[in-house]
Amino acid sequence: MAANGNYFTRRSFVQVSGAILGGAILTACSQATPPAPTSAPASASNAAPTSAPVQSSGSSSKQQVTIRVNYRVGDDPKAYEKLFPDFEKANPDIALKGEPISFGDYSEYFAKMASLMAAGTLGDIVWVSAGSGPYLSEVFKGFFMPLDDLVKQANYDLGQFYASTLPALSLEGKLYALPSDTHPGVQLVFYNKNAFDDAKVDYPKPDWTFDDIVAMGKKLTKSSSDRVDMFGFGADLLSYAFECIFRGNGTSFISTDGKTTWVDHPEAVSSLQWVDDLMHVHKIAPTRQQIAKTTDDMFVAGQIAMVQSGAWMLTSPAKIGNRFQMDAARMPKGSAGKIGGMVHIGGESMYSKTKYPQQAFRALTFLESKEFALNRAATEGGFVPRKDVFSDPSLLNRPMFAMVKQALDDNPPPYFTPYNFRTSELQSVVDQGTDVFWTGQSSVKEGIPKLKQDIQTVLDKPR
Amino acid sequence: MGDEQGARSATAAATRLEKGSWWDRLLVRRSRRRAVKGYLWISPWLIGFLAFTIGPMLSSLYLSLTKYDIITAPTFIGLSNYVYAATRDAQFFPSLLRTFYYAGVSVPVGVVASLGAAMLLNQRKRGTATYRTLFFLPSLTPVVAGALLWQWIYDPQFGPLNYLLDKIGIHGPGWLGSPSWAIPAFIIIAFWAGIGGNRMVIFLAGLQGVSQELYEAAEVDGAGAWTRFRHITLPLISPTMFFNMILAVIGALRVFEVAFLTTSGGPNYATWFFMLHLYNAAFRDFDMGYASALAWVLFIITVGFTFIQVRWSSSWVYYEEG
Repeated sequence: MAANGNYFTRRSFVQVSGAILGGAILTACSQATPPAPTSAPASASNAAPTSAPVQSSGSSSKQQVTIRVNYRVGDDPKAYEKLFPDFEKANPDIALKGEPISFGDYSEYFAKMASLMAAGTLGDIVWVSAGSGPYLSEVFKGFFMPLDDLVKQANYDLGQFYASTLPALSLEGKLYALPSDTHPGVQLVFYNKNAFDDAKVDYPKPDWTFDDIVAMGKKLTKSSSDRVDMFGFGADLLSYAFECIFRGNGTSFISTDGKTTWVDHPEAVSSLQWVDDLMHVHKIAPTRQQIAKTTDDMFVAGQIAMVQSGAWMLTSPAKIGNRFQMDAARMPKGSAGKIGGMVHIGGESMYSKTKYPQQAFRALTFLESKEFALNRAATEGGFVPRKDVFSDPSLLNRPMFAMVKQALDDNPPPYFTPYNFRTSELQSVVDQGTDVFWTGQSSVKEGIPKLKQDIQTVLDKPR
Repeated sequence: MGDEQGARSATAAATRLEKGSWWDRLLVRRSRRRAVKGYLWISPWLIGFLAFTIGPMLSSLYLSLTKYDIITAPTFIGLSNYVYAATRDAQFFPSLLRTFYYAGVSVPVGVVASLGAAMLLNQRKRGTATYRTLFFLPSLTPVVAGALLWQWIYDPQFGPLNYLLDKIGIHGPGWLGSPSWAIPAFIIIAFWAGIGGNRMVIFLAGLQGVSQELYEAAEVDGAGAWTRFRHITLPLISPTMFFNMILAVIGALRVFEVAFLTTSGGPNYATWFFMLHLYNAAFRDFDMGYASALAWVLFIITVGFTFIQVRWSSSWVYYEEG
């Protein structure tokens, strides 16, 4: 009892609240055990592989199961689910439940996925990104199911996909996702045809060279007083763009085993020097200080005549309108005699804890079917890397799409992935670290040792 | 003396309960009920505070001592995260220094500007309502919209700012794309967003609390405008200024949104502030344990700065009550 005769005091209230809160914290902090990967039944089949969606064998239980599909939201989320009723009609034992996840920013999507994993409520099928997110790390920790046995059991034909897309979704020889979105990397050059016509410069030819870019760029660059009205060429100043140039010259940011950086190799240094010279020697490309947002935006605004970019620029004509005509070419071949490319892959994985692996795999093959892929391409713009999809007239007749197909037909190798799966961290270090060159703070030769050290620091971190 | 009194009233209450009339017993029960009612009325806030503020803080303190990636269970590693931050994280100290630089300039500039705006509005001249609206509007602009707006203003090639500078013969810098001008560019944005916000309103309230008689008396004694400001206004609004400075420092140390939206910490880490470093540790690298440690470091630094300001205030903050 308190001095004032009160039995219910502040102290007792705080003590009771603290006890309740402590209990709540202990409950909330109860540890989730990582899921153990489930193993699908293995059975061999001697029949020819099928490219069609896997159907029910007819002997499955009549009970309907719900397969939850986590997918990233594009411009039209409902477009993704448009064909769901058709699948459910053909597979009455499966109900598909689409669960879109916001994709305003990559980190937003992956943070949401991590929350679902922690809560054990990830969808049966999940969209993943092999290059931009923690996909392989999550595979390593056992969150996704290997698909090899399911593929073999269903006699599913993996040959219908572009071959280079499958290794990106695999770890230690096992496949963990089917490829659902792709583009061949930043190996395309989009150009302003009107600017070329005005400057009386021939359009890029298939056998053009890096020196041609410089020569054309000089003729296309227009200045008035001390301001540049139009730059001849805009280099993409991000790691995955440099990697394309590196590969054309026969090298890469990191070694094949993902443990060592090769950024100090002569081919890599010369690649970075070429980009640097565009800005500070030839003065045909904007420096970092002269880029307001991205070189893609500057191209759309008519401030750059040619821009190194990727397949996402195919939607630019809608933004450009009548201001000018655009077309696409591929980057020139590098010193290794090839055009450098790096396939960017999104995939559809299966949660290792799914209760219905057979049904989920059937739904997965539906999401990878030609019909579904063409619907996606027509509505929300994703391109499933199936050879029959990329050869379909509905896509080939799109402006500049043929160039994307041509690039993918070359089977560019997958995204550079460090051994410790710290891809995002590596990208950030490269993007920030190379800015010293593009801002003129350091020459490439002087800055390479520090860049190498910073990259190696990331590569040396544990998995 | 107080203890004696309390003990006496407790004894009296107990006696009343035991031996008193029904009226006495009713009164004691009523006061207890009043206390319970009071706690019940504030319990929603209290529970929310405990569950959503104190609870997560304590959780993050524990997580700062672990290796935790959200998707697997935390592993206790003691103070390793803090040791890593102090000894091996290449951006720990640089990001702190950048944040201090930003805060060190934006806080005094912002506070002085807000005071100036408040003094202008306190004149009660014609057009005050219009000025008040114009000053307050930037603080109502959503952060994302403001960031996009300033990205356009700062466009080095075609933005209006460099266009106007060109007109007066100055070649404008790269602003957000320039390592040396990026932070000053952010300070300007903070100045624009903060000059007419809550800080100005608080200053205005403080100014309106100063008695006009003091000014009149000073005028009679021949004091000029600057003398009146220095010897009457400043001392009497010093508590308000102290409050605003504390909030301004806390806000400035947490600078994040504009850097995240416009520069992503570049160019070459020029705008890689501490909060952005923390965000990347949490949501790019999924190293929640380390991010929690960084959060606690920032908390301790913020508390430290606040403590310093509180101690310093005794030399310049004047409270009329004495």
